[in-house]
Amino acid sequence: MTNEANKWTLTLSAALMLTLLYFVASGRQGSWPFGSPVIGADQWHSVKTVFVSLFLEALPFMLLGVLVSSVLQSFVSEAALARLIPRNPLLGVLCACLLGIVLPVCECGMIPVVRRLLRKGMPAYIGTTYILAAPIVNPVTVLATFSAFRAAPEMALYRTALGFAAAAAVGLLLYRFSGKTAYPLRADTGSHPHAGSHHLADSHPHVRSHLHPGSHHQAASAHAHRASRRAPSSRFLSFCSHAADEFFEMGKFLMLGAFLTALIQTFVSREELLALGGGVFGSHLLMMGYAYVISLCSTSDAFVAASFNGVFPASALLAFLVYGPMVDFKNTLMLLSAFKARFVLNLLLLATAAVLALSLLAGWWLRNAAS
Amino acid sequence: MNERPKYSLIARHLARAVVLAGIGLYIARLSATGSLSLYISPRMAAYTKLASVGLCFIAAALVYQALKAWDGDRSSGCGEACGHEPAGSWLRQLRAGVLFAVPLALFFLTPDTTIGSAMAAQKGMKLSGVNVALANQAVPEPSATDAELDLLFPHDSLTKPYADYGKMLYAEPEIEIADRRYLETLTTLSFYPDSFTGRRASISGFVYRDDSIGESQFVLGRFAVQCCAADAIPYGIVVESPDAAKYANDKWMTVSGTLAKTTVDGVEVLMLQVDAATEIEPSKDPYVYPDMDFGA
Repeated sequence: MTNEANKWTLTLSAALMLTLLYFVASGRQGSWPFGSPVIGADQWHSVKTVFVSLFLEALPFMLLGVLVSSVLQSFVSEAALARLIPRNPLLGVLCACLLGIVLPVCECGMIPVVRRLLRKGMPAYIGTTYILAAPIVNPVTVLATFSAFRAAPEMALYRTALGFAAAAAVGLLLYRFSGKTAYPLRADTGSHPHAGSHHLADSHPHVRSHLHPGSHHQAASAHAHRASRRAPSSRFLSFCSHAADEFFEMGKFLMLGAFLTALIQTFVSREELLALGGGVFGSHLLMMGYAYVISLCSTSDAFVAASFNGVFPASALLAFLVYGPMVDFKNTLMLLSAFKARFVLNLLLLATAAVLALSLLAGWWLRNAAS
Repeated sequence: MNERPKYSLIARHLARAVVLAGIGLYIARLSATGSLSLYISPRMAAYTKLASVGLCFIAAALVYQALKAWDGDRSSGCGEACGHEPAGSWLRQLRAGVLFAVPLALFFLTPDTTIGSAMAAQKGMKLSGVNVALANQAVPEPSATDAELDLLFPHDSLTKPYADYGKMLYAEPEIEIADRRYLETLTTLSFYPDSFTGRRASISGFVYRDDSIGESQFVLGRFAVQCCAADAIPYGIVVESPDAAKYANDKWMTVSGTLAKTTVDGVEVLMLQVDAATEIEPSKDPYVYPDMDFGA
C-alpha cells in the first residue's frame, strides 16, 4: 500500500515539476531572461542558483555515500557487522551517537550507507540514531560552529551535547516502542529487486532480526558470493553498476528536494516567517521550522544561525542548529527513498519532540546560569 | 531470455551513462569558465570537481557494460541473473528519465545566474555585521591600561580578535571594506560604531533597497557564502547620497565616504555618507567568504 502511494507521489511530483518548469520556460519571450508572466527573471535566477548550488554541493557527498555503501555490500559480511554492534541497547545507542566521529558522512551521503547497514542486519534504532547524530557530533561541524560563533565558543559545545542527547533520546524511544526487529526499509527500492521474496518478507516483518536474517539478506549474500567468484574486472563493473543504480535512486529525491527547497527559499521570506510568532516557545518552534524548510548542510548552517543572533535567544539558535541537521525538507525526501513513509513520519515527530523539549530545557538552564 | 530485455538493458545503461557524463561535463564546463563559484564556495569546489571525475568514470564503465551486452556476453557484470534488468513499465522508465534529464538539461543549459537584491529581500539584509556577543553575555569593560586605543576598543578575551582588527583598521587613512575579510570588517565596524564615526571608508557591492531606509539612501551589500549559494546571507551598509535615486537595484558600485550613525527600524547602525560613487561591472566572484583564520 505504502509503496503504491510512494510511486504515485513520485509520479505526481514529476508531473508537478514538469508543469512548473513549463511555466518557467514559457516565460522566455524572445529576449529571455527578462520577465515572465508567472515567475519574474529575478526569481527564476534565484531558483536556478539555489537549485544548482544545492545539487552540486550534495553531489560529492551522495557519491561518497553510494561508494561506501557499495564497498559495504561487497566487503562487510552480516556476521562481522553483528559482532561489532553492542548487544546492550543503551550501549548500542551511545556508540551510534559517536559513530559520526569515525564515519563522518554528511546527511546526503548517509542514507545509502545506513540503508545498506540495515539490510545487513543493523537494528533500525541504531541506524536511526546514527542518521540523527552523525551530522552534528563530528569534528567538521564542531569546527564550523566554532568559527561562526567566534565570540561565543560555548555554542559549539552546547550544540554537540544537545545533538548527542536528542539523538540518543530518539534512539532509545525507537527501541522501546518498535523493538529490535522492526524493519523500516521500503520494499521496492534497492539494487536488488528480487521479485517475490521481498514482499513475502515484508508482510511478516517480525521474522526479521539481525540474528535471523530474512530471505532478503540471504539473497544479498548469495549475490555477494556469486560476485566474489567472478573475475576482478567484472567485479569492478558490477560495483559500478550498483553505484549507478543507487545514485539514480537517491538522485531522484535529491533533485526533487533541491528543486522544492529552491522554490521555498525564493518565495518564502524570512521576515514573513519571523512574523509568525514570538515568545520563548514560539521562537524555538520558528527556528526549527526555518531549519526544516531551508535544508542546509550541518557544516554551513552555523553562519545562518549566527545571523539570527540577537533576534532570538541562544537556545532557539541551538534548536535550529540541532534540528536542521537531523531532519529537513530535502533530507525527508531522501529518507523517503529508502524508508517506509510511516517510519519517516514517526522519526520526524520523535526528533521534533526531542529537540524542542531539550532546547527549551537548555534555554531555561542558560537563563538561570546567567542570572 | 528473448531479445527485447537485452536491448532495453543496453538502452538503460547508455541513457544512464549519458546523464552521469552530462553532469560531469557540466561541472567541468563551470569550472573552466570560472562560474563554479557562482554556486559553490572555493572551499567545497574541490569535492564537486572530484565528483565530476567519478561520475565520468562510472559513465565509462556503463558504456563498456552496454558494449559487452551488445556483444551478447551475458555473463559480464550484472545481467538478468541478479535482477538488473530494467524493471517496470514504460511509464516508470519515462518518469525516471523525466525526473533526471529534463530539469538537468533546463537548469544546466540555461545561462549562469546569480542571486541579487530579490533574494536579499527574502533573506533579510543584515546591516550591522554578525552579532558576535550572545544576548546573555556581559558587555566588555574597558581594560585597565589607559592607552588611547584600548579605550576606543574595549574587549574581553572572546572579542579580542575584533578589538585587535579594529585597532588595525583605525590606523588606516581610508578603511577599505574589501572582499577579503568583508564580513569581519563590517562586524568590527559595527561592534565599535562610536570609534569609527567620522572615519573614511570605501566599499563595493550591489545596490539593494527596501522600505526601512530613506529616499536619499540605499544599501550596498554582498552575499556571504559558507558552502554554497543556498546558505548565502546578505550583509551590507547603508549608503547616503543625494543621487541615491539614480542607482537601480542590483547595479554594482564602488563608493567611498565618511562613516556616520543612523537608525534603521529602531536599531542604530553605521552609514556611509558618500562623496564619490562609480558604477562597476559585477565582480567575477559575486560572493564573499568568512575568513576561517580570523582571530586564530
